[in-house]
Amino acid sequence: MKKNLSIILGLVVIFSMVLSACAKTDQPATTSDKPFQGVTINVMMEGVPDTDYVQAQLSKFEEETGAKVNIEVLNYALMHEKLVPQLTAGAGKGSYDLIVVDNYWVAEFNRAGWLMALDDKIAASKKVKMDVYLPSMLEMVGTYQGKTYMLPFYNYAMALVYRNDIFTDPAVQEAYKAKYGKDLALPTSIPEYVELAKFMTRDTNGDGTVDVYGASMQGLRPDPTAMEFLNYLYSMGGLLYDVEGNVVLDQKVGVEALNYYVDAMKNAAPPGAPSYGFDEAFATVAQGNAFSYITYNWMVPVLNDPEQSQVVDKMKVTAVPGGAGLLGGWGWAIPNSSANPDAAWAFIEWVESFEIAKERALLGGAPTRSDVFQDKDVLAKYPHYSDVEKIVGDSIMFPMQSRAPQIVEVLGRVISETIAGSMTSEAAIQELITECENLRDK
Amino acid sequence: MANNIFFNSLPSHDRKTAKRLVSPAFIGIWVVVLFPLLYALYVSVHDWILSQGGIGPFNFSNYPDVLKDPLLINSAKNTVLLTASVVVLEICVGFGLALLLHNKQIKLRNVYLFILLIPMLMPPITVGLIWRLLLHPDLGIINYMLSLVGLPQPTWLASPVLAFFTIIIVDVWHETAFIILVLLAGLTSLPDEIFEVAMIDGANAWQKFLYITVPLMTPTILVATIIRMISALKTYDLVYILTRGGPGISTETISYYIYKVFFVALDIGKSSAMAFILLIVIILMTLVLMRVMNRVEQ
Amino acid sequence: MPTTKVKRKFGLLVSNIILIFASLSILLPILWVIRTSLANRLIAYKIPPVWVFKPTFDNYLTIFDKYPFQDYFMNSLIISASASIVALIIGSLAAYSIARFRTGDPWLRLSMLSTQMLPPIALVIPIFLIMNVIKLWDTLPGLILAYLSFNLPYTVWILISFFQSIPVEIEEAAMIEGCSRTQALWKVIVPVALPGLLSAGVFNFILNWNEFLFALILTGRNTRTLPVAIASLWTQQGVNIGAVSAATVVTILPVIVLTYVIQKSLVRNLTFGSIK
Repeated sequence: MKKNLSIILGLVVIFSMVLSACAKTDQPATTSDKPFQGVTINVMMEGVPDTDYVQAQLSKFEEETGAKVNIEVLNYALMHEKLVPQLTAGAGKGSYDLIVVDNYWVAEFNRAGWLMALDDKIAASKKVKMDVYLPSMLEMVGTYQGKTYMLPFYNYAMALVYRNDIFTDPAVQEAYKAKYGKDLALPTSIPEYVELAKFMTRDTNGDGTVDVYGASMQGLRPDPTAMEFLNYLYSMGGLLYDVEGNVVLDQKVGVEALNYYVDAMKNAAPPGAPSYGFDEAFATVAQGNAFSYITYNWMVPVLNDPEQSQVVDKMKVTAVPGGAGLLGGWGWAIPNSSANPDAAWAFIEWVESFEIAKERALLGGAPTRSDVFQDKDVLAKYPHYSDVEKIVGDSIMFPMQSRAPQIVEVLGRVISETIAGSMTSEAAIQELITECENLRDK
Repeated sequence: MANNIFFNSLPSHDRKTAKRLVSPAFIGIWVVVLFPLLYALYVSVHDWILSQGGIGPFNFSNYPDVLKDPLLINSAKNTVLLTASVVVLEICVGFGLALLLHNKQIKLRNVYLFILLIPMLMPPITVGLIWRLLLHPDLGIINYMLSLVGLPQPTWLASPVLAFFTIIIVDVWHETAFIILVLLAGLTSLPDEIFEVAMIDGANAWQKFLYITVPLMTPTILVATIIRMISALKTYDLVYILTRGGPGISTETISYYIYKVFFVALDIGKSSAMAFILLIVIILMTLVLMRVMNRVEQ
Repeated sequence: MPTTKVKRKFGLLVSNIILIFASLSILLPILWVIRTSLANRLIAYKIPPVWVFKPTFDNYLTIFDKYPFQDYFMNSLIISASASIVALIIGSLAAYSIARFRTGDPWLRLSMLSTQMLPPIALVIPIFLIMNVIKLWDTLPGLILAYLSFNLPYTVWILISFFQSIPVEIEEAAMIEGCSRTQALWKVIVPVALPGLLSAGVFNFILNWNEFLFALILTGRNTRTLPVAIASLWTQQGVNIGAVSAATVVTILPVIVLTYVIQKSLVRNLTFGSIK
């Protein structure tokens, strides 16, 4: 059965077989200036701004190499389901030549042996240099157990996005001082943040109902709430696993973090927040109904887009209070089932070159290279990127575990149960510790 | 299954024709249903986690293990409660509307019917996404309308009881169309003469309804109940879009839970065992219901 | 008698009010979807709502330009139509045989019924595993076969009672006239049964058109159907609610037209008969 599965899981219609067959016969015949004339590179990507920025640059690559790049844009929830059968296809038999891998799939994919090691290609490449990448990105979506399988594509380090106009409003500052006897300042820890968020949950037009919430939050199972909570946990000094993969979650720290999270959800977030996914939480901020939101740092350019937001130029970004938010990121990888690994590699070389990485960053993309972060033009357009670079460096990634999707599922469930009141935070953390132990790679 | 015993009363050429006519469907069912099920049965007694390699050793304990899984039990409870609620509501609402639509004096009845059937034509996935938009507590049109008339604005999906209730409402919005269609078809096929006789006998509308319509419609209502019950037991799409099983585990249904064990945990052995248990339960329930139906009909 | 007349008028009025209320509860959300399909994200979520705004067709452009919805549409059409036609042909033959000759009674009939009880999740897992091995994953024939697993029993089941309602006498008359059994079937039964067959076919078509779980798991890049494509507009970045609305409009339009055309026939023929 294993053999059968690995022989071919999910072959494609004749159409794409013909295409790839064409590709192979065409390759030697092409001239050297367009090395991949007639080749189609099939890529699976997620529908996020960074994907749009890649698509915006595509024609350059297609002109340079003659290859056609066919990007399939998918929703996150569907990607994993779609990728797994493709990745288990035999060498050269899958329908994706190039994929992007979310950091919490890295261990799963590599443990199953689905990704191609890139070390030889990197060594032979004149264009790719690994030392330009931020170490935290490389560790997360670059290497696995000493080998390089991915090139970091973009980061989604989480950060605190807040309304600077409210924060600097003298009336608000005065009210804060009157209440707490100290000056309004950016919170430096989760407890301070939750206190501030509760203070900022106010009725601004005097109609008797709250219209600005201190924190927009996303309580939907599984990943929205799990990802959000990890910022609280990490910033309060908790961790799920250590580097060796042992469960090190401390019951007391976990319970404390969860209590603050639930407190914020109940007393500083919109009443619907326990059911919000990213979209609803984002819309709350974009419509000007929230003071702050712990979210991906690259949402700032989106919040500054007048087509999508009413809070243009009012948002500022800073590190998650306490300093250690959740780091996320995506890496480019070539699956072993790729039918066109060489063309895929050429694409990676191109898309991760300094020029294109910079172009993407200028459009609003989230960099992974320090030279892009520190580029003059990029900083001129997005001054906050100097902060973001530090955030990316300080943030902590999701544990490198092959059953990470299931860990996220458990995490999302116990948090949601605590918010719903069907579980105490003590029981939730206890169950989390037990399940983390059951699910860890042994 | 095509047993010769049942052909004995037929002439031999008819017997052949009968067999020939049935055989494509017979083969079809074997290929697309029975064979996959047998394979699932085989998988369900083995250890197999997709990301950890190929199929593992024989392990019958998948069955007792999943039966002890508190999350499976919870999702089973939710599913039963959800099914009972939506079926009862949809049958009541659907029968009421079908009766109104059956009244020939209502001139626009075909227009109403057409509109009322539209939800049936919509993929559940879009129904879920649309209602997510409409029900956004702060930015949805429904709560805005409620605020205009001074009514409280519920946080539809944010608390366990309310979220469950919301799923029921959305399901009723979506699925009642089917009940209307089936029951209206049933009403249309009732012979007019009986009503005419009743009218001559001086029965009033209520008597006609109680002593003629209801008894005659009982079989159709039962059929509609069974069909709808079976499909409600499979509810998956709405939960996937509206709540992902939350808040907590309050709206996790059994199909959605099995789906997650299969595709998130990639535990093929356990998920197959769960699916098989679900299958057996549904078949048993249907057999019981059919027995009840036969008794009612007699 | 004036009182009965008044009573009747009052009854009609109440009936109409109830039906209008029910129709509005269906129509308003749909109109809201149409509105959203013509708005950008800011307007889509704006409360209090902007009632008058300049409509944009960007959402429609998005789904046909950025995502190939024309391909998804064709996939949906081919898969839904093929599965329901195949099911109709072989299902009606079987239903006729069971109705007339009680073939395989009661087991065949029971098995058709119990097949419908199958939770799709129970079936989709093994079908997925098998399709991967026999290379039918992400192919149109693969999905058509998978859809037969619920189309076929459904068709047989609906049509058994339908054939039973056609009097045996007309067939016998034809056979006395010199037709063979097969000829009688083609020349007499099929024409009489056509509206019922069509209704069953359309019903299956709608089921297939909206089906999500099988499509989610068994389709890939090449065969994605509309419901899966719509779900994939739900991104990490959020639901692209404008595009979802536009795609919803595109998806339900054909079935709405189809239903409008055959509405009367649906009501007349979809009696679902007795289960026995």
